[in-house]
Amino acid sequence: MKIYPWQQQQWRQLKARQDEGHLPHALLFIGLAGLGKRQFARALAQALLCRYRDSEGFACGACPDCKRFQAGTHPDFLSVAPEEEGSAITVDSVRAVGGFLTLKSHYEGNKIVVLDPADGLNTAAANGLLKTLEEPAPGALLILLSCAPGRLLPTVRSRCQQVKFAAPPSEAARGWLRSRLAGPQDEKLLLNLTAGAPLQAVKLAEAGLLEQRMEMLAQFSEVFAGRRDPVAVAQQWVRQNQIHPAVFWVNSWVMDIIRLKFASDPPSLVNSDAVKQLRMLARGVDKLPLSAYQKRTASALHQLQASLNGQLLLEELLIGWAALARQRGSR
Amino acid sequence: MGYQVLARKWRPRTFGEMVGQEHVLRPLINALDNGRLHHAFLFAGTRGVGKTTIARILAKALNCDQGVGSNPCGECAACRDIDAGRFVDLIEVDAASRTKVEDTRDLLENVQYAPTRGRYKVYLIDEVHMLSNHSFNALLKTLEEPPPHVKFLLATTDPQRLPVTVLSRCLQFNLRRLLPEQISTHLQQVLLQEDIPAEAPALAQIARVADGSMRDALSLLDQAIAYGGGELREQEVRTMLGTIEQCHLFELLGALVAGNGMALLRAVENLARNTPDFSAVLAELISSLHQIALLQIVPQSVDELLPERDRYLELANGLTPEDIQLYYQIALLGRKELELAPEPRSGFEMIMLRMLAFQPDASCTDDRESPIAVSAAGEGAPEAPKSVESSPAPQAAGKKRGKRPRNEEKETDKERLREPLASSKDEQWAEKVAALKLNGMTRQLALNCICKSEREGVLELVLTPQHKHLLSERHRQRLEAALQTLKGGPLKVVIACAPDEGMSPAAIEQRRELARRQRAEQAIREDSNIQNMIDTFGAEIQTDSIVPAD
Repeated sequence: MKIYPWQQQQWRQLKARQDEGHLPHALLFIGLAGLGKRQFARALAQALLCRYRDSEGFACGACPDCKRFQAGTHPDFLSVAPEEEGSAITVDSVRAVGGFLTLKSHYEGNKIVVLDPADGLNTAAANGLLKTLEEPAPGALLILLSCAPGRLLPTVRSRCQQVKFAAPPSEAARGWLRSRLAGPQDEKLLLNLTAGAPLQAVKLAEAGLLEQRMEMLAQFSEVFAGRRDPVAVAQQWVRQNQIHPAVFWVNSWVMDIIRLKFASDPPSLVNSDAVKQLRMLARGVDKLPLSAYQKRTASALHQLQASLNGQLLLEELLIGWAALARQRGSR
Repeated sequence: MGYQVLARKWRPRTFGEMVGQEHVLRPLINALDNGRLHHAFLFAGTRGVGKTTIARILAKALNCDQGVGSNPCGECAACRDIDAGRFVDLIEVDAASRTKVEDTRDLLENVQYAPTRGRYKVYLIDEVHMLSNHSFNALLKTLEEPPPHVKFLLATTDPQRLPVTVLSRCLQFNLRRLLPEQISTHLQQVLLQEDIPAEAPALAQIARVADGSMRDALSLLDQAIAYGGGELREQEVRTMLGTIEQCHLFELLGALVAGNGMALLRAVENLARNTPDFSAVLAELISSLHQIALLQIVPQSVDELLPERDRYLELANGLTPEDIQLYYQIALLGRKELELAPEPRSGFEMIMLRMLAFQPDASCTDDRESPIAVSAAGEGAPEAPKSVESSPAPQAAGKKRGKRPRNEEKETDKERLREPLASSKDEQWAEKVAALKLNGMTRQLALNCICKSEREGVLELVLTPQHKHLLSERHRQRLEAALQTLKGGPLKVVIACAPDEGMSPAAIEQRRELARRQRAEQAIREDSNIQNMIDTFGAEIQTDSIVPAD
C-alpha cells in the first residue's frame, strides 16, 4: 500500500523512529480532511505487520501478513470506526480495544489499532480509552485520526504523540490533481475551495458540485436582493439534497465577502471564479453585521455534525441573510 | 514498540522524584511517617500533573517490605512488582470502562478478604468521575468504613462530577498545574540522563506549550527528539510546535494599528506559509495584547528586559486602551470558535478581520460607498449594484422594495435640502464645530453660537439670547483652546449675546431634522402599499409614530 506524495516527510520521520526502536505506543494524526490520513495510517499499520519491509519501510505486499491485511482479516489489526458515518464511536467498541490489546499477538509481532475519527469518540468512549491509551501492553500501537483535535479530551491528547499533516504546496497539489482528474478542470479553484486538501478536491470535482454551486450563488444573491423568498430557496436546496454543501458554500461566500470588504484584492480569496458577484454583494452590507453573520454560518457548519433539521437551519441562515440586506436598506 | 515513551519511563517512583505538588506531598509524607493515614484519598487535577503517580507511590509506601514509611525502598519484591504493574494487592481499576454497578459490586465483594501478600489492599480507582450513579452509591458504605486492611485511592480530572457523599468521605487533594520553570528544569534533567543535547530556549518553549502538564511536556519532548533526530534546537522545536516568531506577530499587530485590511490579510498569508498552529498564534496574540495593555496602564510593571520592548511601546502608543480591550475580547472569544472552525486559517482570518470591523470607518471610507455613489463615480461595474438593489420585479416585491427607492430619493433630497437651509458661512461654522470633538456644555455652547466674523486672529461669535445660560468664561476658554489646536495658531474667541441674525449649527440641525421628518411623513403617505391599505381597510396614519429611518 502506498502513501500520497505529500506525506513523504511524515513517513520518513516515523520510519526513522521505528528504526531506532523509538516508536511510541500512541500516535495522533492531525490534519484537515482530505489529506489522506486514513490511507497513511493503513499503510503504516500494514508495514508494521509485514515481515519483509522494503528499504523505505513499506510493506512488501506479498507475504502472508500482507495478504491477510489486504483481505481485512489480519488478527493483529483492529480498525475502530463509527457504526455509520457521522455517528459516534461508542464505549463498547472502545472496550473491545482494551480486550484486543490484552491478548498477545497472533504472530509474535505488533498489535495495531486505528481509531478513525478520534473526535468521533463520545464522552464515555473517550474516557474508557484513557487507561489503555496510557499504558497498553508491549507491542501495541494505537493510531488516532482527527481533523479537529480541539474536540478531543485534553486527557486523550496528552497521552498521544502528534503527527501533523499539512496541505501540500499549491504547485505540487495542482500537478497531482491534474494527473488524477479526467478532463480539464480549474485545479486552483478546486484546491482553494477545499483549503488545499487534494482528496477533497478530487471528491468535489467528481461529484460535479461546481456548476450547482454557481446556481446556488445566484439564488443566494437573489435572496439578498429580495427577489426570492428565503424559505423557498431553503426548501429547494433541501429537495436537491444539498444541505451540507449549501451551508459550506454559504460560509465560504460570506467569508469571501468579508475579505472583499477589507481589501480590494485579498490574497486568500477562495471563490476566485465568483469575484464579481461577491464584490457586488459586498457593496450591499456593512462590516459589523456581516461579521456577526459569519459567526452564525460558521457555527451552523459545526451544528451540521449533530443531527439537526437541515431545512430549519438553512431557513435560519437565509432569512438572516435577507435581513442583513434589509438592515442596510432601511438605513 | 518495545520502546517506552519518556512520560512512562520517567514516571516518578518515589515522592522525592515528584516535581511540584509539595502541598500534597507534605501531608502524605507526614501521615505515612506518623502512622495517621486516612483510608480514602481523592486526587484531582488536570491531565498529567501526577494523580496516578502519587497514588502508585502511596501504594508502594504502604506495602514496601521495609515497612510503612514515606520512603519505599524500590528494591524489595513488593516495590518492584508495583512498578511493573503486577502486584496482587494493588487493584487498579479503570473506572471509565467498568462503570456499571455490577462491576463495582464485584469489586466490593472481595474487599472483606485479607490481602494476599502485602500489608494493605489498595484500590486505585482511576477516572473515577465516569462511574455511574448507582456505582457511586454502592461504594458509599465501604468507602466510609472499610476494613482496616483496605485503602481507597481515587483519581479524577473532574471532581465536580462526583456526588458530595463521595467527596465528603475522602481526603481530597487538588493537584496544581506545574509552572513552566518547574517543567523545563525537569525536562533538562531528563535530557541529561538520556544524554541528549538541547538548547535551553527550546525547552522553555515546550514547557510553555505544555500548559502546566508534565505528561504533555514529555510527550512533546519525545516528538521533538524524533523531529530533531536526537537533538533539540530552538528553530526546529518552534517549527514542530507551530509557534511563530515575534516578527510575524508584530506584522499582524501593525496592520491592526494601521486599520489596514489588506496588510492584515497579507500578514496572515505570510504566516500561513510556515503552516503554524493557528490556535497557538492566537494565544500568542492574546499575550502580546496583554503586554501592550500593561505598558499603557502600568508601564513600570513591565520588565525592562522584555524582548522588543520598543516595538511594544510603539504599538501601545498607536492604540487606545479601548481598542486593546476590544481586540483582547475578540481574540479570547475567538479561541473557542477556532477550535470549531472547519479550516483554521480562514477561522483565524475572520477573527482578525472582526477586530477591524469594529473600527470607526475613517480609515476605510472607500469600502463604504453607497451603490449610488459608486455608479456616480463611474467606477467598476456601475450598473451591477443597481440591478441588485433596485431592479424591477414587481411580483416578488417584499416590504423592503417599498423602502429602497425612498431611500435613494432621500439621498438626493438631502443634497437639495442642504442648500437653501443656511448660508455658507453658517455651514462652515457648523462643520468646524463638528470637527472640534468637544463635549458637554462646551459643545452645546459652540452649537448654539453663530459665527459673525473672523479676522486677524479674532473670532466673533454671537449667542442667541435663549441660550444665554450656556455662556461662561470657563467654556469660552475651552472652546478657544479647541479652536486653537484645530487652527494650529493663536486665536481669540469673543462671544456676544444678541438676537438672531443667522443660523447656529443647532438650528441648522433642527431645521434639517424637521425637513427629514416631513419627507418621511410624505413618503409614508405616498407609499402605494399604504395607499392601498387606506383605500381597502380605511386605515389611518398615526403621524406621530413615523420615525425617519436612515
